[in-house]
Amino acid sequence: MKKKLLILAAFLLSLAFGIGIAYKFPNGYFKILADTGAVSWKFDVVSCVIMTLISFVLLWLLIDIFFDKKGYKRDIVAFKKYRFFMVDLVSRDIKTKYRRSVLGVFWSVLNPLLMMLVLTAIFSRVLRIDVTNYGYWGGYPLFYLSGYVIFNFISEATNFSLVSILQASGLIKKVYMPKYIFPLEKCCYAFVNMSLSFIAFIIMFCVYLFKGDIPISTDLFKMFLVVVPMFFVFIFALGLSLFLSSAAVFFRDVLHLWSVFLSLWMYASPIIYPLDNLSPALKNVLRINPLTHYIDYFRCVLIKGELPTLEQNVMCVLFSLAALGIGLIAFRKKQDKFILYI
Amino acid sequence: MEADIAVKVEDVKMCYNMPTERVDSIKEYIVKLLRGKLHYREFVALDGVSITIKRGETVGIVGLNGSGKSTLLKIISGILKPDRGNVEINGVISPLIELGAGFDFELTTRENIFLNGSVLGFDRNFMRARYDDILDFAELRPYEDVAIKNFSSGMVARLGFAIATLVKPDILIVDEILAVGDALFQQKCEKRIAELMSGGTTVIIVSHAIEQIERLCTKVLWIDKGKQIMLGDTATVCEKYKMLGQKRGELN
Repeated sequence: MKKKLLILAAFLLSLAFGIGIAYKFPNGYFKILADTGAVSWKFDVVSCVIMTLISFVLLWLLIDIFFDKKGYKRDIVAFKKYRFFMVDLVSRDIKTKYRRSVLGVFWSVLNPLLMMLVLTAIFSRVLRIDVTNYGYWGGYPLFYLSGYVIFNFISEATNFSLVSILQASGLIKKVYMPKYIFPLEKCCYAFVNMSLSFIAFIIMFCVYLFKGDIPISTDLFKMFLVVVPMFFVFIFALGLSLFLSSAAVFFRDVLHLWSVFLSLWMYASPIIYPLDNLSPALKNVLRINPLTHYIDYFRCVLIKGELPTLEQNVMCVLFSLAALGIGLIAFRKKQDKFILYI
Repeated sequence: MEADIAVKVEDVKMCYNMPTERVDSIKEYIVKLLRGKLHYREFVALDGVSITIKRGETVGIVGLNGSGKSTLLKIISGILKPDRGNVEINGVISPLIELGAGFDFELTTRENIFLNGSVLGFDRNFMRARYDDILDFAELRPYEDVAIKNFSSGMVARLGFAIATLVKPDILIVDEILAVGDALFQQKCEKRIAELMSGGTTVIIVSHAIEQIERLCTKVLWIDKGKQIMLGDTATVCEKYKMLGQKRGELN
């Protein structure tokens, strides 16, 4: 009862916070609006709603942790015991992925390169999108690869996790183990895949470096900041995966809907086209998409040699934490019922 | 909890909500909800079962099919969470809930031994030290690199039993598994359980072979249709249980 009251209070508090944000930043919280000049009240409302939701989820998570300190602690202790199991699962996934293929693990590097060739042919030769105008180094290939790596990670992590609980039914029904291991393991597996396809990016980066398309300066060191968006995006994908994997247990529809949603999501993110190319109104809409912020951050440090702004950092952290919060709350609420439905 | 108690189950109740029809999609769910047709038939699998098991004790659980024995074991090993009541466990559980739990049938014996170890939370070095013992006990040395899917059910049972008992758990749960192996292996298993018992391991056995329970257990719990009928020393409970069995047999 007390918990419910606290959650209600948290909601009111975050509502006030969201309205406050909209009032304090009449140009919309997302900085980009200010420089496009196309500000409408609609966007203030949207950003107010988003900020309310995010802060509400975060407060709820805090309340949840506070009320279930023992449970969270137990989960963390359990992880220590089952980490070998997780490593085993990841290595098994990698082994089965490349079973009976001649090139094996090289496919992880080769695949992005081939995709890059196809899309470069279409977008830079046929449709003539020139990204170097917007300050991205290396032209379309590097531009595409950097977006592809992030999106592919999210899509793999969620697609694998979606069925992870259902697939593990044999184990869950017979042996006790913390159930979050399964979506977490799938995210780690997708993260390994992402690191491998990042090699493709590095190869292309070196090619352009030798060609002289990338200025050799200290800006290149900012590249190492790439671990920051990678970490954020991992947390984001983990939260999403926790939510989706538990939803898929109760409603198998999610399995079918998600692939449709993913393709929509891909076109609604600046992966194959640059954000700067769009009309101001569309740009605003895309700012609502969390993925836009991650990809933007990623490209900013990798192929622009710029330091990320405070806004970029704040948005990435907030979206990651909010996704993790939603995932954790949904998963923990339902995890004891999984066994009755799988 | 006192140090000499291994398992403490207090007044546990477990209900399964069985929807009269299975609802698997959002559309069905909403349609049924709106029409008010989302009925559940409540099935009480366990009600008011309590048992305290001391360290080193061997406890048998008897009852007819569907009386809730396996549910109780699942609750003790943490797989199911009871709707009501309290379960406290002191120590490492090595569950033998069913045949082949935690095995991947595509993998070889060797890989499965390590996989099963990690399922139970033991690392590679720990398992490597016990690897030879496990193979020898299961008598599967010639089949080290054969995928488990080619094994007979007796071979899988042997492997499962070997792993679960050789990692020296604090609490060992045996569910009907002894029934699968041949007489020779059953003897070996019983010997092994006796060894574990003298080493301080708590053992919980579910079996329909009442002689086996009489041989091994110090204490027996009898449940029927989810209710606790009797809890006491082996001789008394087994005698009553056998008498009931005879009575029912005559009725049929």
